This record gives sequence, C-alpha cells and structure tokens, in this order.
Amino acid sequence: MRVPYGWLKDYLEIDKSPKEVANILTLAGHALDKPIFGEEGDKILDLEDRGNRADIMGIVGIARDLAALTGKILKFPLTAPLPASDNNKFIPKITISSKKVLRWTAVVLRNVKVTPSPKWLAKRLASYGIEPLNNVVDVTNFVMVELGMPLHAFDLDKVDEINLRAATRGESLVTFEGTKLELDENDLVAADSKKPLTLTTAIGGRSSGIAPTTQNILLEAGLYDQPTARRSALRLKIKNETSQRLGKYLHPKFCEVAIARSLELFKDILDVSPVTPGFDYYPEELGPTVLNLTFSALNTIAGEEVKPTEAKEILKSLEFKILNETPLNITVEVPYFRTDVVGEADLIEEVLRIRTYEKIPLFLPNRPAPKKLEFPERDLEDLARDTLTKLGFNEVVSQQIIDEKDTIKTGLFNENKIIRLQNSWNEELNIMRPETLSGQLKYGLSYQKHGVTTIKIFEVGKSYTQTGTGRGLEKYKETRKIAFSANLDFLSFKSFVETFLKELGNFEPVWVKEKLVIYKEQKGAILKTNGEEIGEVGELKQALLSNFNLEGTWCHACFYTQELLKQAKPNPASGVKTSIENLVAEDKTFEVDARAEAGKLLNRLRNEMDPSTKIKFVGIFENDELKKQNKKNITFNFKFALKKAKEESEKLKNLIVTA
Amino acid sequence: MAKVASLDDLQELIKTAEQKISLSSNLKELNDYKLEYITGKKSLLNRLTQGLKNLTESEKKSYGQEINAAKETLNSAIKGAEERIHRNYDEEGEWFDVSLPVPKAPIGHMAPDTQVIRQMNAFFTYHGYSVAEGPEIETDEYNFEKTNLPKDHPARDLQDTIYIESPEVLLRTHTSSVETRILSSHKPPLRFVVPGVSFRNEIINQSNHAIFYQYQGVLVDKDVSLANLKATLNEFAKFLYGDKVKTRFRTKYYPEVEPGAGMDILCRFCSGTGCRICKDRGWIEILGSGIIHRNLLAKSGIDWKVWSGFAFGMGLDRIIMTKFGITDIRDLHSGNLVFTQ
Repeated sequence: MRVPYGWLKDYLEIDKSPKEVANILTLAGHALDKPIFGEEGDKILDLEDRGNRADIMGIVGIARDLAALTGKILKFPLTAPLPASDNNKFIPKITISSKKVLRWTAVVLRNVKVTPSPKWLAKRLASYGIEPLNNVVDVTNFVMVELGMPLHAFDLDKVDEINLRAATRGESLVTFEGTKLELDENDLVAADSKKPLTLTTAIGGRSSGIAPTTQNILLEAGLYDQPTARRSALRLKIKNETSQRLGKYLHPKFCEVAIARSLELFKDILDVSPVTPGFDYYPEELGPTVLNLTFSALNTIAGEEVKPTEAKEILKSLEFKILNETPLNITVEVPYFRTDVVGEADLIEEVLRIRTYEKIPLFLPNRPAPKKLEFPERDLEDLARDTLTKLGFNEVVSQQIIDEKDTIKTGLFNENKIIRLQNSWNEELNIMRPETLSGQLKYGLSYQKHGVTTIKIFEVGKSYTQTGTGRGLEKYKETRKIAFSANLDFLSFKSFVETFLKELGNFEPVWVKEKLVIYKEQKGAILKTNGEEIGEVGELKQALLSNFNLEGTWCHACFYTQELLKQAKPNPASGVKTSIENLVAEDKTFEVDARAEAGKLLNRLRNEMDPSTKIKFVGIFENDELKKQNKKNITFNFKFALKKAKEESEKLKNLIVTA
Repeated sequence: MAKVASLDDLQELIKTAEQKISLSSNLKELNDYKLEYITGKKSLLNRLTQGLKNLTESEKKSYGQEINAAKETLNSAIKGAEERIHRNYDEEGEWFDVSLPVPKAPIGHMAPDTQVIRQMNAFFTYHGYSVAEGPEIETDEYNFEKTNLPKDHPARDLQDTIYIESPEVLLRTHTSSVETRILSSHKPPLRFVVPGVSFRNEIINQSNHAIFYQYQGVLVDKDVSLANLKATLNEFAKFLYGDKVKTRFRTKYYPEVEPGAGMDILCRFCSGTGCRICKDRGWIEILGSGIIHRNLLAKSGIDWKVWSGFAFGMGLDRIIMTKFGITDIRDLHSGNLVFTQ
C-alpha cells in the first residue's frame, strides 16, 4: 500500500519526517516494504499490505493509526448526505440476482461535465501512482485510495438496466483496458439486458464507461462475497487496486461512507448533487461487534502490568467505544471499519501494538522444561549422519519434487506408484520423488565435474509413493531412507556398509543375492536381519550410470529407517577393551561347492559356535584340481576363549559342512 | 668360571662376546650383554679379574694387560652397537623434503542444512525443547483448518498451495502443520522445535524457491507472555549472531498467532542508517512469531483458558546461504553444491 506523505498530512498534524513516520508505522504493524522514494516534499511510503486489515487499504486507515501512535487527532474527510433510497423508483431498474452481493449502494448524478480534474486531485492520484483520467473517474479513484472502498461510475445513458448476477460460461467482457475476459458461473457481473458491463468484483467494462461525452452517471459502491472476489481475480489473473480491496473483508458500511464522500467531492468539483432517490440493497445488516477485555488477560500476555487507564485511552484513540467498565474489565464496541477485531486477543494486540512491543520486558520462561517428545527415527538418522561423515561421506540434500525423466533414467519408474502434483510452479517438476537415487547421482556428477577422485555421498531423506488404497493421506506413503553412493567397487563399498551398520545398531546382516533393477545381476543384494529386510546394496548398472554421465564403477546402498529402528541393537562396547583377552587361535579350511557363498557359511559357523568364539574370514583358495571338481576352499580363523578352547576346537573338528 | 681361562681361551671368549654384541638388535639385548660381559657382578670381566689373585706376579702382569685390553674391546663393541641400534631406530638418515605438498586426507561433511539445524537445535534443546517432525504430505485439516486458516481465509492466498488431491491432500505450506499435529496428540506443557521442508507454488528465482526449509518453535504452558517470547528469541539471536546483536520486535500479522510479532536484527551492513541490503529499513527481518491464537489451541483440543503459548518460525535457507556464502537459492538442493577439500 502506497502512502504519499503529503496526502497523509491531509488527515492529521505530522511533526515528523517521512523516515520517522515509517519507523513508527513499522513498529505498529505497517512495515515499510520498499525504500522511501519520491521527490522532496512528496515522499512515498510503500507499506506491506499482507495483514488482515481492510481499513488500512485507505490512507485514512493509516492516518488513524498514526494519530493514535503520535497522540494527534484524526481529521476525517468531509462527506455529503446521501439521498434517501427508494429501490422501486430507482432508474435504471436494478435487479440483484445473486446472494453473493452483500450490499450495493447507488446514486444518479445528472448534467455532469466531464473535464480534466483540478490540479490538486490529479497531483494526489499521480503521487499514489494512478494516472488521472477525468474528473468523474478521478473522484472514484481518489475515494478508493482515501477510504479503501472501490467505487464505479457507469455512463447512465449507455445502461438500460443493471442485473447483478453470476456470469454464464461462454460470456465474455472487454475491460476498460481492452482485455477480453472469458467468464464463467463463478464470476459475478453487473449486466444490462444483453451482456456483462463489469466484472463487478474487480474491473469495469469498456462499453459502459465514462467518456468525454458522458452527461449522466450512475455511481455505485458494492460489496460482495470476498472469497468469490478473490477466486475470480486469481482465475482471471487480475491484480488491481479494486480486486485487492474487494478481496479483503470490508464492512458493508463502507458503501454508504464512500458514496457520501464522493458526493461531497462531486459537489465541490463538478457542482452536481443527486436529485432523485438513491438505491440501497443491504439484505442482512450487520450489527456492531461487542467485546470484553479482561485486564488480567492483557497483563498475562504482556508479561507486565498495563494500567487500565492506558489500555482504555489507546482503544478510544482507535475509535473503540467503551460501553461498560469495571475494575477487572471493559466492554467495548468495535468500530465498523475494524473487521479484523473479533476477539479479546485482538483487543490485547491493539493495546500492545500502540504502546509498542519495545516496552514489553524480557523474562525467560521460568517453568520446568516438560518431558522430552520422542522421535527415535530422527535420533537414528542423526547417528547415521555422524557415522557416514566419520566414514568420509559427504551429505547431500536433494529436491523432493522432481522431473519424472530422472526416475525413468534410474529404471525405477512405476506409474502406479507415482504421486503427481495437480499444480506446480514448473511443468517438468511435477512428481514427488519415488526414489532418492537420481538426486544423489546428480550430486555425484557435480563431484565428478569438480575432479574429486573418490566420491562418497549420502542423503537422509524420504521417498514418496502412493499405495492406491485407502482415503486421504492413507493413500500416500512417505518412506524414510538413509542412502549412500560411492565410486567404489563392490567389496570396497561393502566394507563401508558393514562398518556403517555395525556402528548404527550392531547389525550383522545376511546378504542375500537378488536381481534388482538398478544393480548388476551378480552384484546386488538385499540385507536381512532376523529375516527382515533392512535395505539393499549393489554395484550400479553401467547403463544407468551413463544415463547420469557418471564414469567408472559406482555402488549404492539404501536402508529403511523404520526397519533399521526395529532391528537395531545397542552397541555398548563400541570396540573399547581394557585388558587383553587370552584367546586360542586356529585356522580351518572347508572344501565347498564353487558357488557356495562365504557369507552364508560364516553365518552358519557363527550360529554353530559359541558366541565367545570369534570367527574371521581369511580367504578363498582355488586350483585346477578343485575347479575340475567344481569346488573351492574357504579358510576361516577361529579364536576361542581360553576356558572354552578345548570344547570349541572339538566342536569345530566335528563340524560337517555340506554346502 | 671358577678358574682363570688360558690366554687363548680368553681371546676366544672375548671374540665370541664381541660377535654377540655386534649382532644385538636392540638396546635391551645390548644391556643384557653389558651385564653378562662387563658390569654385572658375575660378568665375564669380573670373574676374570677375580681369578688374577691365584696367579704369580709375572702372570698377573701379562694376564692383567690382556683383561684390560679385553675390557676396552668389549666397551668399544658396546658403544659401536649402541650407535648402530640408535641409527637403526631413526631409519636411514637420508635427506628428506618435509615441505613436500600432499593431498589432504578426505573427511565427510554434513550438508549445510544439517549444520545450521544442528546449531539451532543445540540452543533449543538446552532450553528444554524437543526436536519434532511430521509428514510433508498433509491434509487441509492440519495445514489450514487447525492453523486458524479456515477455507476462504484471505491469508490462504498468501500461501499458494501445491495440491496432490485438491482440496484435501496437499504438500504442507508451512511447518505449522507439525505444530497442530503435536498439539492435537500431546498434552501440555510442551516445548518443541520443527526443522523441515515446506512447499509453495511460487515462481522461483535467485532468492525464492517453491521448496524451502523452515525452523519453527512452539512453547505451550501456563501464563505464557510476549515477555517470555521476546526473551527467548533475544537469547536465540545472541546465540546465532553474537552478543552484540541488536533486536527489535514489532507488530506483524500471522493468522496462527494473536498478538503477532516480527523480530528484526539491526542491519550489519549499514548499522541502522538504511541501505540496499535492508531495503532502507535499517533492520533485517529474521523471524515471525506471536502468542498462539486461541482458535488454534481450541481446534487442537487444548483449553486456552488454562494453557497459552508462543510460536515462532523462520526461513532457514537465507541463514544457510549467508553462512556458506551461497548467492543463489536454487543451488541449495539442485545437485550443484559439493564439498571439495
């Protein structure tokens, strides 16, 4: 909202510079949005208008706050009396066919002479940023900026009747600016017997507008269902002074106030006044809002005592009427223009904001801290971050909304599981990522381009899929993942995976070879603990890597936080020991089938032997003789605890391996 | 040895000792030889010297000379061995360039987001807050209805929503959805922070993105005041920007709170006089906050007559960009950001 400093001074005495005024307004909720600009003597304050106050869309609204903040008196602009209304006798005939019209007030002015506006009026509008057109249109614009209420003037001789109705699909309107709008039944129009004349919630039409030849005018101020106004403007991409104001919750009383103010200006500038009855449609008149303010509630929120007299004075300066008062509370009537004040907390804010928050003291909360909320997944993921960075991996964070082409490049695309966005800022970025691999590989490429030789990256994040069953949120699944990739061969990468899992939750998973889409056929595995799948690891297919322009050999691991959490065991010792254990060592070689898996054999040995026995893989031995028999030798090193050495050694001797 | 060896034997013994000494590989072994041959009570030289008393004067003279010569030989052998062992410890004393440039050993880094979030979490967990989270795919109920943004509320326009299944299933537009989820499922008193991603259907450019990270904090207890909020955020600003930071609280509208407040810090580029960075305000806004709206508490099933609270929220991306010198927000999560040594 632009506030020309010179214009603001019309409504109160100001003895401060534009910068000082901007600071005062900023503290009270009207922050300076852009640097102060304009010529010396007519500086412009551009203030944020993101709040819920309709009244400050008029300069008088800002002036009222500034008066309360600086202890001055607001000089409300002059108004002329409205003619009595007689809706039946009003010419032209007005029909209201939509319940979305909350109030519609109109007067007719005859024998107007359309000329350029007087200099003062043209200057005021120009300072605000509206180009002066003629005295009639300029008066309506002036009142809109002054009070915040849009008005519209029709050339009466171009209008045979007015029907306020919903548009019909297929109807269109050429605006006064020459843009053609394609309307539908969600738009509200003022139409004559043939066609829409205005999109009444946002913009006037060309056919019925004021022209230099106009002699008689119909001046109207209408208020409509605000959501309808906002949706229409949004769909038709109209963002103008009228649509912005009619999208806010203006009180219907603004209709009569704005017409009364315009009549004063028309009398003054054009020397015309209405001579026939007016029109006023106001089916559900709003009564005043009455609220209670309890001083104890005010003091609690402030964190200190605010004197009741001070609170009352502030509210009175903002035109709240004190209806009743006791030592404990007051009852106030909210002024009509403050549609944003609907509860006690709003009154409290009014008092504190005019006092300024700077006066509020500093007291840290002094009650005991409540019980901690538990989010174990988050704790585990934090441990994963610590572990992976210790292992030399760099964390990356990739986008949750991606281009489906990226997932197609991984081979993981499944139309049935994809979550598509109904609207996105970018046509290509329109799905929730169903995998975290593509994002990671993009980072991999950046590292490759930077010439990093050993690339190790990880991401803690979610993938998003739909299950196709259930209602609402049930249909959509967010899967928490800890995933990492590196340009390493399978066994080197596996070593990192094993250390990671050991640190994270003392995992000693079973590696089960599995053909998975993204991994080389012989180098992909599902990892299981207690029979439950905790994740997958593998060497990525060459074709996939070339889709992401990656060179060399890459491995990837992906673990599911929820599953890890279920299977994690505490890792109490963390490898720390204070004394040397006396162990008896022994190597044993097993002759097994050439395709027997060493990991499986190791797991079996661990199950067979006592938990105190430490078993380590030594190596695989193959020679021509063994190969002929389709066999190989696998050697393990066993370390027995002294007390169990004899028993365990005996057990090992008798162990029959038939793999 | 009870009797003195012959001169020939003596020379043989000394030769053997000299050989053993010269082959010793460490100082401990050498020390043992020293005791065995020279200094020990029962050392070879001691025993030989003691045997002198049984000899004639002329024998004593020639034998004595031999013992002295042997002593010298052995001491010299010990000294030589010591030097050799020390030399071996130091490896070969060849010239070496210690200034030789080497690649730095690689270490892992956390993402800038994680680093900043952890820093903030450290402050708030110290003050008794838990670190909470919630779903990113949300319902209209938790994202809007319960946050005091009923259908057709004008402020919904400020949050252009990305829908999955309009109007009920959407991507959360703010982390306040986690606030309403936790308030709806836990009993006060409560203190928690929520670092997390949010989504809005906005045009993206160098400083705005449709995917952005927020940090939200909530405290619900009895008799919570703006004074509590101000003090908490003031301490937080000092933690984040240093003790000398100057803060300012001003009225600002947010539908989730009433009264609402914005916190600014004095612009460090112009010290408050106004510049391009602070848009001539002299201050830079860092967060929004306020007393939790009674409607939000009521819709989350909390009796606002008994409990009250404050909430605050800030964008993380700007803080991360400043800390890491990133000038384009689009670089944060697009795959461009790498840690090089």
